[in-house]
Amino acid sequence: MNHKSLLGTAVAAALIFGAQAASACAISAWSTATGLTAADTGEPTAGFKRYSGRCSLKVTDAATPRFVTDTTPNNEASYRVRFYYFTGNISGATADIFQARSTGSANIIRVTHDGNQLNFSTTSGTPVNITVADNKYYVIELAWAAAAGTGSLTGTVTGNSGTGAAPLQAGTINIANLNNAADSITEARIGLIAGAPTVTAPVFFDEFDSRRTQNPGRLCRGDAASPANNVVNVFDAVAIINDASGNPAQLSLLQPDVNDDGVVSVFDAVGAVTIAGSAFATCN
Amino acid sequence: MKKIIFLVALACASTVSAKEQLLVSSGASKSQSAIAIDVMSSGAAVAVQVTGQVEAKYAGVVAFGCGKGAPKTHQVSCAVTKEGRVTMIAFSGSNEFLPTGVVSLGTISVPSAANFKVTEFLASDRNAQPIEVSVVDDAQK
Repeated sequence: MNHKSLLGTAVAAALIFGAQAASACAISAWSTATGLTAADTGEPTAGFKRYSGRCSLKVTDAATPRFVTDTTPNNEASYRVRFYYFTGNISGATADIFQARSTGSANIIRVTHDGNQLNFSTTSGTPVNITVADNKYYVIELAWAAAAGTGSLTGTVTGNSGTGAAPLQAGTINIANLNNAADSITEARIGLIAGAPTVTAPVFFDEFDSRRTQNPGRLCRGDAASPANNVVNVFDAVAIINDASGNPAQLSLLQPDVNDDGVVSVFDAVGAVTIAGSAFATCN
Repeated sequence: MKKIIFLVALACASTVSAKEQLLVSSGASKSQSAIAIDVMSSGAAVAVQVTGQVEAKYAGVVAFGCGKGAPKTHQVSCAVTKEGRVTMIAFSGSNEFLPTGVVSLGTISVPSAANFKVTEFLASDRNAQPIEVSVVDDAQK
């Protein structure tokens, strides 16, 4: 079995939010859920803000820890992860929104959100803050590696891109030259895991994808018409307008939320048209 | 039952036979081409996209009469990249059908030496699915 397929089940679990296009949303593919149930997943027609597919995971409060866990990583010395995070409106305290932990429950990768900034840290090195806006989708991409003196945590935060053709990068993470050879990852969590901020508007998670050696990469923004072809053109604009109609039968199974505001409207169609006429019409 | 099958078959046949035709016509002077982009619409498309190419060094001088003469139900977006990829997209915010007959999307003005060519014509039905298309490009004659 190659390394990628070892993590393949984790990927499958992670993709649950986007993969169950025609079925009810669920969290059963995650290893465990704490403070969350299937009722915390849902479709746009029920007010859920998804980035891709029909479903997303909503966390409405932090009164108790609320998160899902993937336990398929197996003492990984290299870990790549991507997930989409809708920032909602939180204040008053800092919440852990992502943790990648060791067998001993130490946070090897930790991402927190204080309502204004995301903070990225690992077991050593200087943490990185990246400012984000409320109620916007951002894609968080991280690559972590353990090594003696050459370990690292790198990544990007991209989102709140508006209807311009180019995706907007909110910031980058580059924590390098780490002496972290003893670290390894055995589980990952997403949600409002720790901390108790006031949640005025809920946060959402979507399209979690983790791998050992390859970066999952971002989903093609504006590629809304099935089947996915990683090209943005007139069909995607039409699919976005159909999605905006609110008819459940016409929801896009892909990525209609061009402007990352969690709502699909004609503005996203205009954004797709802008992308189609730009150098970003073809995604990598 | 037979009647229903017949109706479904008729509907399918109607979809297949729908054909949007792109009409590209050029009024050229020695140094400049004014290219009219029109669609002979069957009434089955809600949006169309015309993609063309000019030599990259002329990308900066491409000018559009964007949406000139287009129906009010649709807005037309025109763009050119620095690599010379030209796009013209007509769509409706409520996925209205393009009217039947000749629909003007606008004009493109480029130096004759830019060698404008249509590389792709796409037409979408209301379900974001492609409609059969053809291109009549007088500018290349």
